[in-house]
Amino acid sequence: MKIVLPIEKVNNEDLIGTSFGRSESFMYFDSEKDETLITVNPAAKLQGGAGIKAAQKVIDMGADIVILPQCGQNAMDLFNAANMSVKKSVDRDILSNIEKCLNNKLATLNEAHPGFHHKQ
Amino acid sequence: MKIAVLSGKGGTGKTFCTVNIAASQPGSTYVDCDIEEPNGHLFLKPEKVIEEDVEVFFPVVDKLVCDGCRKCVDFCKFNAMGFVGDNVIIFNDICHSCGGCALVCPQHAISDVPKKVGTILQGVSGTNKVITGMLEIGQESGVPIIKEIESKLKNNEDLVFVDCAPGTSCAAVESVQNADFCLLVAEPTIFGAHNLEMIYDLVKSLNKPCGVVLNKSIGGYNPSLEYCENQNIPIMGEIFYDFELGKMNSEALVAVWEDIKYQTIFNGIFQKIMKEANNETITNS
Repeated sequence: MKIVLPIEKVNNEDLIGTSFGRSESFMYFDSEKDETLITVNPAAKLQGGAGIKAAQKVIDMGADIVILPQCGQNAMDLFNAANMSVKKSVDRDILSNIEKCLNNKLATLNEAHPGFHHKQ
Repeated sequence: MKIAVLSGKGGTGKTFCTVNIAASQPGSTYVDCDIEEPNGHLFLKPEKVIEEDVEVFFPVVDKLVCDGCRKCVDFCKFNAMGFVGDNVIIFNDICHSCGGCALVCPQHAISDVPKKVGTILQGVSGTNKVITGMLEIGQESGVPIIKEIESKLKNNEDLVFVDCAPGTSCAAVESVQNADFCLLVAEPTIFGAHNLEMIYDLVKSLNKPCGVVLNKSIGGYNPSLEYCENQNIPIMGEIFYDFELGKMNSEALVAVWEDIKYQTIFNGIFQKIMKEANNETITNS
């Protein structure tokens, strides 16, 4: 199983990024090979279309599962097109979410987040 | 001569000022580029209206021809394209219809398909021409509509007043590009002064001559006036908070056509604009 999670800051690799497209990097974990890899998110500082670009990166990494707190519609559309499983993180700790995911304890994220525009 | 009317936020009186200055100058053209919420037509009530659709082109990929090289996805500066499996996925909401993807496709697999994004309505109101841009509900960007209006006004030597979109969005910037003078409408509050500062920064960065109308003045301390004095921005006029004006606005009446005293006020603002614009031309020539 190949799992990808967004990382908030490059220098803090324990914390899940709250905004998927704007997270500084991605954690890639291959459970069969017990292999971990950290890759920079090319979309982190883009003016627009960050969700799409970040999702594309995750798909190109060959992930089966992505774990994130919420997901925008465009990224969700791409994940769905790639038949990937989108799981909702339970807290912000990367390792505990990977563990819960491997034990099938994470819920599937079915609905896209409507975004924060015009919202408090 | 093209005069753009702007404000840092909605509700300062852009439409009120634009409609009335245009109405005070017979034969002039009123253009509504506040495409998300055009309402100048409610006051001017144009007749003999001709409607025209504005279309933009969105890319469509022929799956049978596409060989999955991803050159289009890599090229798209707006990140409006994704590639999953053997398919290019296009996000029209993000696409800016630049046509670049079709140009870089080695297989010529991408074609442009038109989609309606808005309408331009042209009519007459007395001696004034009225042009209104309307964005289709659900569409993201009104810039293509403003571009289309701009192309119609390209060789227009008439006096044109452009009612711009509020704030400093792409739509507002697009409306100002070809203006000879910018009229900034400001409220007499701290919030109003803050918004004035934003819009002043915009017109300054575009090197446009400008002046301010202080709207809804109530006498006493006016933060927007203070800002103008500090920045040496010329004042084109002051309109006082007035029950009568409020009532006329609520009934969608054009103040200058109702009462000669408003004709005097708005004609006065226009004369000051002309003087200021001419000064600028002389100074810069």
